[in-house]
Amino acid sequence: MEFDALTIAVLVLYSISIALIVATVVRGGLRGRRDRKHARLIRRLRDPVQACVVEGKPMPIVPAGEQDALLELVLRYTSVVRGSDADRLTDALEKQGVTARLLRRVRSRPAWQRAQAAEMLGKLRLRAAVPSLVSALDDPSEDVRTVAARSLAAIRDPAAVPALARALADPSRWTLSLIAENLMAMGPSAVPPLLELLASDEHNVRVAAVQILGEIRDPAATPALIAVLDESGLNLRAQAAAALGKLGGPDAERALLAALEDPQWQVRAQAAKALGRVAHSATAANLAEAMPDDNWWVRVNCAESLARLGAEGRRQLELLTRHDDRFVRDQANAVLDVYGVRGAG
Amino acid sequence: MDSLMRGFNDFMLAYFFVINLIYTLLLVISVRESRQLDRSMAFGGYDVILRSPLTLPVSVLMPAYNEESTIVQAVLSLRLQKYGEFEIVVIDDGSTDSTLDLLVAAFALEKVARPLRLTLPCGRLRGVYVSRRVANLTVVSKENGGKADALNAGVNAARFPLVCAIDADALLERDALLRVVKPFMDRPRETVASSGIVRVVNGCTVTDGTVKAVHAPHNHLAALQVVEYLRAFLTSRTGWSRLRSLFVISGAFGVFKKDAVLQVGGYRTDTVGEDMDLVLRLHRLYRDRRERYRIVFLPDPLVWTEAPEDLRTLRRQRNRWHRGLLECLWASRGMIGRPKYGPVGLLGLPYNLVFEALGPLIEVCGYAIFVVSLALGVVDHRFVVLFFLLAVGYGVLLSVAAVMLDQARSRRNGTPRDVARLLLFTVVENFGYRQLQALWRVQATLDFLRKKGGWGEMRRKGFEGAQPREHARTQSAGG
Repeated sequence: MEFDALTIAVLVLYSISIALIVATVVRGGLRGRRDRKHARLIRRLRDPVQACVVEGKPMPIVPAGEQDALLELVLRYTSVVRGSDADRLTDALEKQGVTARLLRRVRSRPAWQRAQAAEMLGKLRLRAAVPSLVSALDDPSEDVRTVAARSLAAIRDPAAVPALARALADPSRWTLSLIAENLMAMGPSAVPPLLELLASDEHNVRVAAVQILGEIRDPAATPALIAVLDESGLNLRAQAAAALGKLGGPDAERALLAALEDPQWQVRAQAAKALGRVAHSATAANLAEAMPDDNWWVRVNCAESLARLGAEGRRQLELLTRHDDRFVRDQANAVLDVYGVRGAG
Repeated sequence: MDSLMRGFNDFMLAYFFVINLIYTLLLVISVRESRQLDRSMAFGGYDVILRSPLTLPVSVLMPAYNEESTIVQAVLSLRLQKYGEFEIVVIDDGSTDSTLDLLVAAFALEKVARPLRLTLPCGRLRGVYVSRRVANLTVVSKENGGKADALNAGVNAARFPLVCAIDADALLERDALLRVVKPFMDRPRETVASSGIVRVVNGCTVTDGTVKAVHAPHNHLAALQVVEYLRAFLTSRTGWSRLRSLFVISGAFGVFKKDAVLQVGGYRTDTVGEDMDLVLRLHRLYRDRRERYRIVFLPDPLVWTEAPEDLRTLRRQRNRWHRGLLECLWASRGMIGRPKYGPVGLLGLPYNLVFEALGPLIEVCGYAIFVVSLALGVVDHRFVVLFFLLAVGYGVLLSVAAVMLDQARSRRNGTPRDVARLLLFTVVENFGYRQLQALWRVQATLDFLRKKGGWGEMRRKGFEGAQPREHARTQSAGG
């Protein structure tokens, strides 16, 4: 009795193995067939679509089963085609009901289909898709949310900015860096809602807003960032210093020079680094003065920034190699060495 | 005697069924997980991460000890990584051959007076070199102190917030760094480590430092290891990662948050399993502090490594791996079975203790007992044959599933011949290779016990307490 059960178990095991192999082979075969069929379709539609894009001929009318292939071909051109040509393409797709199908698919059941549709709408830069994509920002699937945000950024419709900024304020559901990236892509139109986010309660959100403002480099944000520098919150203030370095300008520079004497070393370190980015040789003396710091990173950043300030920075570094403090001497020597900027004298 | 034998046989049967049940569950979880990841990978936005100014820069640490044959090529191929900002830190661990000279010649290195901040203890430094020709290449030369010590020196020299430890003989995919850093971009606060699948490169076509076509190796031993790696990574680690109890991050390729590495005091130098040990201490640190964290494993082939093609080298490698596992289990014994340490303490560690550490002992005993029972006529021949077939059948099933899962997902499939060859080896490995592995592991267990001189003597160095917290905490924010 016991043996019979064992025999059956053995047989079952081996048959499952064989079934697995067969299933994989069959699946591979089916996939190969599907791929070949798709490739044939693409080959057939390629030239007409190209003629439509390049020579302005009418878009080929295809049955519903071939619309995906048509869309795939059109999407190959949308990243390079702008203006009225792009509008012509989307109009032609709309006439065949392709865009309407995509808009429906943003609400379909499988998450990957929703994500795929959202991605294609972004690639088509379809203004009409903005409301659907904005509502897709609340999708339960993270993939869909991410893709929708990216597509909104690609469409660059200012109407989407508030929605993206709201997404930034909800870090538990969002990949901060991706939202940040998308807001950055929106450029100066994203600045006002970001300035509002600076007043958020959530520390992370404020840090992200500061970072993005630094990347957008719109001088309109300078006063707000300087104000952040005077607040509390270590990481926030350090990031504000870094962002001011990216924005540049006389106001930012003045604030950064003051930040070199901040009680917190993280802020001093970032201010020193930011001044190297502003690269204004008049700050060399201040950096040299700030260099004898207790903190390693402040010393490193001061020295590296000085190395970026040209002749005046180099002169200060060479003076620092004769400083009383051994750590300052070492760091100055190291930077002169590493960056190969040691002068002839 | 008779009842003792019977009792033991029953125990063996029970053990067999439990372990295979676990394998099956892991397989199911892995298949689901990799399907999900495959789908979301298409929407990963890797191009965005590639060009984003917010992408975290990475310090790639490459310890090298007598690697003169590969080191220059390794650095050159690393420079081809598709990634934004990263620096390469090669740590010459007191090589006695011309590793350093070759690097100096190939990259126009110059010795500089850059002071290193010795946040982690490491062997005496001989010099720091930077390249005049290649940006972001630093070579740290130090006295020999082993891989862990070299990595600690590398962490000291690293300037960026993420550190990536890689082997000098590992072959990375072009986008490996990009893919492995993505989890850090998704959840910048929580992610502390991430890693991917290691594959066997033997037999594959490699052109310009990338794997162009995947073939089954001609060498039988290497082909056996291909099957073994597929099973271990695809069907086991992916599952463990899903259960949040993964603590094996391969030393060949893993990215860590530098802050976290500094907080646990870096790599421990008195173990051969320094990679696993580091991950376990990360788990312990974050659980102790009750902070949210995650350690990610990606079921994508990211790094290729050469498998040993002769028994002696393989035996030494496996001996080292198993001793590493035992040392790590011993060092983390305080975490085993304690709910405070979450899935690692309740699932990962107990599983590894019972089935990975003690498994080989039980397996070898099992073979012996079966032989003895047969000789004494306690059990039926038919039962023994059937049971053996069952065990083999299960092993084959798991390996076949792994090979097939890989076939279904890979975009660089070999020829049907390659697949057939791998399938053949899923059967072959059960006759000889498996038993050899068990024997080697028993040998490693004996070595481990001998080295420690009994169970009571192992000293814990415990950098955690000795490390001034301030240093570790302050380092990354300023960089």
